[in-house]
Amino acid sequence: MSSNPMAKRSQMQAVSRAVWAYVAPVNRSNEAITPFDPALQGQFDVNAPPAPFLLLGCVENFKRSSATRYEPLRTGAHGSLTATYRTQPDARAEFDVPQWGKLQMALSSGAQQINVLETAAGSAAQASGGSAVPASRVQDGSTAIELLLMPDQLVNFNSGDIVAVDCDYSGTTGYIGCGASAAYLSAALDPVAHVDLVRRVTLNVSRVEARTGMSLLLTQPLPAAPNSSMGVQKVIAFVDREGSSFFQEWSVLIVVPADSGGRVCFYYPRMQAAASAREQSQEIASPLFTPMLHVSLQALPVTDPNDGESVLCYRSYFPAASAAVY
Amino acid sequence: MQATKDSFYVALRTRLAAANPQRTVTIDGASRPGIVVVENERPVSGPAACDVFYLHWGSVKTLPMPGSTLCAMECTISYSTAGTSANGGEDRGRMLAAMDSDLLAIVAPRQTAKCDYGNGTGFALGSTLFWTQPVLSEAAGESPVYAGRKAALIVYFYPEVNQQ
Repeated sequence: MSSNPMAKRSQMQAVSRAVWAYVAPVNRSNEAITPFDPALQGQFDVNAPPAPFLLLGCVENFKRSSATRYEPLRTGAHGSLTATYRTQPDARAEFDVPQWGKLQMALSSGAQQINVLETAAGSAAQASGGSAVPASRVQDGSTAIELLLMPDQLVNFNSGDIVAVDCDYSGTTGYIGCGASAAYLSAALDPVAHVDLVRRVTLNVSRVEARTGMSLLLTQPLPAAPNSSMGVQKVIAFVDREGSSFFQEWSVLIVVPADSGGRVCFYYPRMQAAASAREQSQEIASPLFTPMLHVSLQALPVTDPNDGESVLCYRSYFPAASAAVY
Repeated sequence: MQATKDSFYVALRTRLAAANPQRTVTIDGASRPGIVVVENERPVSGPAACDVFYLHWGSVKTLPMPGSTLCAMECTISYSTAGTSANGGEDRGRMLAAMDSDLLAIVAPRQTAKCDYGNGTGFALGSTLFWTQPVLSEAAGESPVYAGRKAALIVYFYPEVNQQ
């Protein structure tokens, strides 16, 4: 076999060049997480995460930290150390996202992320978007990558348009937004005046790649499948607001694929925003720089069904093919 | 060491055949993807052929990491073009840009499995080799007739693990 006894041990060292981040929705109504099973899903292509995880992108300056307190238990006249115990479990993660987009801004702001809908003629100016052009109804048979619309509605859209696809607001309270909870309403609003509210916040967005005689073909699949109760509206920009009350919550997966073989994954079943939106500037070559979205997240506990332990984060390691195991 | 050289070459050759099947070179009457390893070919004194990637291996060093056998080997890929005769060579800049695109396409992803091609079977050696993004030199040719450049990168590898 190998002429070098260190060969297998040296492959225990993970050598990587990028950190990849993914998110998946948490059902906010029942706090149901999106599980990540290392055995079933661990070795996925980093460009094609297992559904429903969505690629956030390669991130910079990934740093995870634990503020869990370790306390001594002392007994006896001299207060000798008998044992230690953990209290106030606390874990955080932060990183910078160079690529801007809907999901990326949602994670960075930590609050409600707003789609600025195309405004109707004569609409008064508003910081988060004025009165919108009415939605076009999604027709039966639509899929995550093809939206069937009535012919007279198709002309409202063109290749390159960004679209938001979701239900009309019906006067409900609680979490709104299909696929992933996008906002929370503690008090009902007028459903007529706010009929577009769900589409203003939904994360169910994509871009039109092409328009056929009966449908819009999308460049990226919608995170949630469309149905005939939904409408489509054109999105001009994304906006988030300092001071918003809503907290984003996601299952977060961080993957460090090693070029040398093997992989390290950090899976946080539940993470909520831990800070408001801010950006981190990175110089490319003066005067060029890129503003990166800073993401700061706080882990919430879940119960591991295997043993009932309360868990904030799972770290998994997939050894390289020929690496020594210990 | 040889397995690293061979695996890198085979990876790039395979990718070139998929990315641009038209880029070929004929050597001794046989057509193959347009990338050759200089040290593996018959020594010739004439100028290198146009529109072909020439792979040169450079110095090797072990990295100063405790408990690691990771090594780094310099690699230079040179190429040049005279453009097309139909355009009187005035398209040599465009042809060079096309070669740049081909090169950037075949070096991604920047890793491949290391195999022993000594007996022609490609026996997996149980480790991966990986490399840096190439640094492209300024465009220059051996004469004004040509446009060419050199792309430098570093290939990282582990000494053979499962080699018999």
